[in-house]
Amino acid sequence: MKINGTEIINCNDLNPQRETVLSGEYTTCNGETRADVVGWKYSDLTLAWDALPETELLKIYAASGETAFTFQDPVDGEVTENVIVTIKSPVQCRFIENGIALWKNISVTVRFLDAHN
Amino acid sequence: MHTIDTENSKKIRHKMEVICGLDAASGVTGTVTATGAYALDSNKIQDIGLIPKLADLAGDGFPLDGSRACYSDSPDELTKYGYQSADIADEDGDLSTPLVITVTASDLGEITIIFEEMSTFGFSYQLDSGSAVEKDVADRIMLDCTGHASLVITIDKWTPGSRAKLARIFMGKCYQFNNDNLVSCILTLRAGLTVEPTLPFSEIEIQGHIMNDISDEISYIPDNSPIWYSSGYPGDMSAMRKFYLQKEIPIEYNDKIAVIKGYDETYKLDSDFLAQYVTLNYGYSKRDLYRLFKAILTAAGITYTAESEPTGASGYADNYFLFKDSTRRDVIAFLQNLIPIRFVDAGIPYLFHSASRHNVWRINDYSKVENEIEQHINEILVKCYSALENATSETIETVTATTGEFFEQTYSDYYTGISVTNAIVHSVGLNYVTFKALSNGDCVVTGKLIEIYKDTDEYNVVDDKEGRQADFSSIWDVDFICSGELSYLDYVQQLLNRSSKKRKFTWKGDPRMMPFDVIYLGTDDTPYTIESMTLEHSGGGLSSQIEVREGVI
Repeated sequence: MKINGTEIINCNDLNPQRETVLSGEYTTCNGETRADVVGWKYSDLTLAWDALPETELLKIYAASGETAFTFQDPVDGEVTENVIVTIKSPVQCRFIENGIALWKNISVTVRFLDAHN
Repeated sequence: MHTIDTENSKKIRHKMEVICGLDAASGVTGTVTATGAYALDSNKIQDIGLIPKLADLAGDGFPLDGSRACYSDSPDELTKYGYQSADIADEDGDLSTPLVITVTASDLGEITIIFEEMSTFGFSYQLDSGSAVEKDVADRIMLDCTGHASLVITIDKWTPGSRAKLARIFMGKCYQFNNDNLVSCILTLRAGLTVEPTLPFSEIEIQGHIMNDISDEISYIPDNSPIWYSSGYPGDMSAMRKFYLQKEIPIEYNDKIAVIKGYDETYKLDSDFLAQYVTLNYGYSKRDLYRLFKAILTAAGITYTAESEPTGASGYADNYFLFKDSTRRDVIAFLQNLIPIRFVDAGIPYLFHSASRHNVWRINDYSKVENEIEQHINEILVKCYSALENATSETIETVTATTGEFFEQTYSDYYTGISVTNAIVHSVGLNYVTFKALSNGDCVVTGKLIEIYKDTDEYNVVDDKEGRQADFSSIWDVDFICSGELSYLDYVQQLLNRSSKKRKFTWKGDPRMMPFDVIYLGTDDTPYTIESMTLEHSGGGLSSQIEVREGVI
């Protein structure tokens, strides 16, 4: 996967889900929702790594605002979507292995911005 | 069943297609010729107006839903029908004689060509003696022909079994929006259903992305340019509504978003209605007033469709109406409230008189309903007069003139058959005449005085409920004087039955609905008439806020 064009080690599980995008929503007198389906978008996705090199972690944590996120979709193959990183879990454990600084138990949540027909 | 109906029955509906935009006529007048076309001669290009689809028996025929126009062998405006090939495409899609349309002008500027029926085969066009350019068929295609004097459009292949059709050539630029570049499109459609006469206009506001900077073009877009709108699903789009750009509300363009607003044609009724003296036969009063409605709308420049006129009954006496100077809007609004003749525009101007011409809708999944109760009107105060011209002419005035002297005379009374001796009359009405004296001497103005008789002091039309009084006396005094013999009091009496109960709710929205349409809510058998409706396309979805009045109006 890539974040803003930088290769990142694949996370533990990557299972992007799709959700419909509604518009023109209102509530009927029976309390039900009525709306038009205007497309779909990827649901919010949490990316987790057991361990991640510090250089890649810094790239992820530097992501601010609209960010290009490239990943493998089980239906469409490699896709690039615009996301914002909404949750960055606090990192706690840093260690050195073979001279490379690593961080353990990394987790970030991304929200997809683009809707598709 | 219509696709729109099928989708409306779903809890979550597929989004509708929207097509809307503005036709900005360039003001260039060109000529067009065609070869390989069916019964088409040279003609001037029609630069305003949308083309009805043709009732054509090629292919699968055409729907019998009134959406198609029949072709005339000698139409007044040939381009009304668009251009269709003389030949029908064979099984390979080939036209043995291609449809070739040539447009010429000293400088063509920008040209929009419009296809209303699609084909997988493309077409080609050629500017002056340049090389031919291939292009796919699409709804609207803009061609920049600036600096060129000739455009040749060639269609040599089309859908097998069909005639090639090009609906329209438009001399100007077309700003078109659909779901891909539309931010929002809001239509507010209105009818005046209050007892006091009103004829509100309907309006549209389009917000859409235009990536090419149009800042320099906006000021050259003509006033009254048509703004059009249709939505629905492929193969089941609503009738095209037309609104018009007004110079009072120019186009805004900021951050690549254009905001375009326009009104329906009822704005044209804000024009002078000059006094008229008309004879109505009591037995044909509704028919004759229907004709008067049509004459007023036509004189205002409104293009509309109309239900066939009401029938009447012979053997009744003539009655005489004097309509004093007013505005066309006031006359239409007032008469519409007194007699069962309805004019609705909302982008699709239509005149009708029978209750069966209401579209009827039953909707289920509406939002919580808000009730609004107006104070009931239990008494209407009116005054009725007779207006009758005298049998003989009388001298209105004598003016002393010199040769060639010009006069513009107005009178407080009304006369028929005004004439002037020793003068050439330029224009004449019931209470004015303009003329130029032929020679030195007296010019005598004569006419038959229209005498106004007050039948009775006033009529109070009342019911037995509590409420307030509506005073129509000033309206009748100032603008409308009718014979007491013609029983308009019956109609006034009916006005008291008009409900003061209004209901408002949100619904998913249907672009086919019109003001004056009748709605039933859920299983309730109480009919409601649509008084106003806002259709809002935003974020790709559609919803509507509907305001109805109880009863069929």
